Amino acid sequence: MVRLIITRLSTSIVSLIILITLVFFMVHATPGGPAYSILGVKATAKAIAAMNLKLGLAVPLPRQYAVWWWHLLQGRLGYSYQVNQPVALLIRVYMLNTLALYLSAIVLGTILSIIVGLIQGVYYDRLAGRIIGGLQLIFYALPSFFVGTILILIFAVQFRWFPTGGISDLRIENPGIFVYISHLTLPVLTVAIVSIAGLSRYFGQTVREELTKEYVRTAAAKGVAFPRILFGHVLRNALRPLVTILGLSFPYIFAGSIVVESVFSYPGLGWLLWQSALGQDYPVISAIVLLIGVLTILGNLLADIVNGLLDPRERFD
Amino acid sequence: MLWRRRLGNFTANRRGIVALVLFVLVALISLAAPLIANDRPLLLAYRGQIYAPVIEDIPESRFGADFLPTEADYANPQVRGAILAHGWMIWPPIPYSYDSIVWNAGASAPAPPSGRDWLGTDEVSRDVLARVIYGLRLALLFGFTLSIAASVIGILAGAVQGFYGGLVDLLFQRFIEIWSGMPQLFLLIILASIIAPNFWILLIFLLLFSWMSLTGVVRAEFLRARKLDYVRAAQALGVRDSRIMFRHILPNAMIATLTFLPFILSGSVTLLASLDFLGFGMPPGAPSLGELVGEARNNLQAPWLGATAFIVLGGLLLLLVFIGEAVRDAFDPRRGR
Repeated sequence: MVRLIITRLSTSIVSLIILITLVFFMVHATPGGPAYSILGVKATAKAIAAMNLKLGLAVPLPRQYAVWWWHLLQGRLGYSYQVNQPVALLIRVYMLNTLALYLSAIVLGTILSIIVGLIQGVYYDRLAGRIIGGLQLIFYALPSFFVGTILILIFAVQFRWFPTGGISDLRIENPGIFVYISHLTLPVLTVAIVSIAGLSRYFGQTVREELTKEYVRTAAAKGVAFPRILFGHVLRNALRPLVTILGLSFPYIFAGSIVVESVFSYPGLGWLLWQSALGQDYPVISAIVLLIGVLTILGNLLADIVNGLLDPRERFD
Repeated sequence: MLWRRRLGNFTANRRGIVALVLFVLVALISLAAPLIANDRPLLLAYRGQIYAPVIEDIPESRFGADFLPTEADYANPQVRGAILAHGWMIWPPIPYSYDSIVWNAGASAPAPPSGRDWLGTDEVSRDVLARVIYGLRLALLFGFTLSIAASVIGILAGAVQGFYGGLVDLLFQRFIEIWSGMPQLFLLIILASIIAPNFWILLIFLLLFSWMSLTGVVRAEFLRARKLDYVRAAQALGVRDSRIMFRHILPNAMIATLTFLPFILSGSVTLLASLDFLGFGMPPGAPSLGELVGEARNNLQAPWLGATAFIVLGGLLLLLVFIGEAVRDAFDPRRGR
């Protein structure tokens, strides 16, 4: 067990170092450099040179790399080219929005997955099970930006029940919680639908497998009522692998955020990354990629350790 | 015998068969795109001479002394009149290519479906149906190329890993662990913002990360197989390693890889569409299904864009998933007589 932790930890550290180095080289390899991005194409050579000096780009590359690490360890992430704000501040604000979106979606998605999976597991060979299976397949095949756009077209444009994007209505003076909720609904639904498609499929199969096991037959023969078998025993056993899956997929949430947030113009971390990438705002880009990368790597590490704790077979490679 | 059972399993899955037939139909139609939707006639006769403007460029001056010797614009009514006066033209069913602007759409762009533009026009007044057909072609060509390239690399990597085992395997595993832990979409976006991609550059970018999907399965198969007697016998006989790997073990490993291929293909199509949607994929102007979804999103007053994108992209992905499921069930050893 300890050996597992050590190997995973060392891999994670190496991953982090490689990621940070990769981002550094990609950001500093831009043609023309950040000075052009800030000053524009028509800038004079003198202005570019002055800007380069100011940005610390006039020193040799290895030194820039060392400075990069030094700043990172201090938590100095630089200033955004587009809005001239400290990047750390931007990230803090936008991160909250993303968290609000994704935490709601995960909670909703998990609860619904369990319900749908239970129904599917029980009625697997009957009509209800097949309908659910078909729907799962359809939503599993569709990418998330797709589901999002369709939801907008149906519920925001056709029925006008929800707004088409953003996080709040700028026309309202003091938006209460309900404004936020109505803006959050469609994005949360999008993420939830996509995650339900995958999760409930797995859960449905797990429930179905559990139902074929001996202890279920024994309990039924003993005369235990079916609901009690289902909720008292089967559910508990089927939930265990689900927790593992949830934990394993947690790091990948952020990867999906960029697409969903861009569909709804939802001001979260993914949207910020998208806008920064379009505007070549490299301090923000590198900060977000690093943050997501670190979270992903840490998330993987945690998931591996938890998995090792739960399932002794997973402790060896 | 084994093939019969697997084929039997596959054909028994009606959903899979229907999906496969539809998919092949769609693929064939999309490959014939330049013959179905083009802004040049297929055949043209002028003063007794027959030309094929689809494959050759004809200067306008050929059709009359007044015209300049530039490439003929067959949508121009004067050119048409000059040609029809002394000959005839056979047009493809859809008289637009993916980048031809519809000048007289009758409504502001994007225009709703009409008698001439069956699916309407998009943001910059290009015919949607033409873009859809070319877009399917692009998606399928890109998807197949990416899938095949990624599969080849992945199989090679997995084979080397599994066959040699030991330190090679360990190092490779660590590398794959690290590399697959990178935030792929984000790195791709950064790359795409540094170097504006075209078809081939985008292919290389996506290849950087997609090759890892098959390595696990292939590696497992090779790890298992290298312990078997026939492999050890071949090694004892002095057969070269590479020959053992590719002549003997690989055919068995291919079974598992085949079941993954439709999913790799649908994954590639989705990835391309996602990048195009965000604006980081194909260059602007290229007919792309993801870009169509983006336009649908930005023009909510034009629901035909969204409906088209939904049916086309959604339909394509659905077909691939159905086929993939059928293939996977076909190879499932637990089924069949």
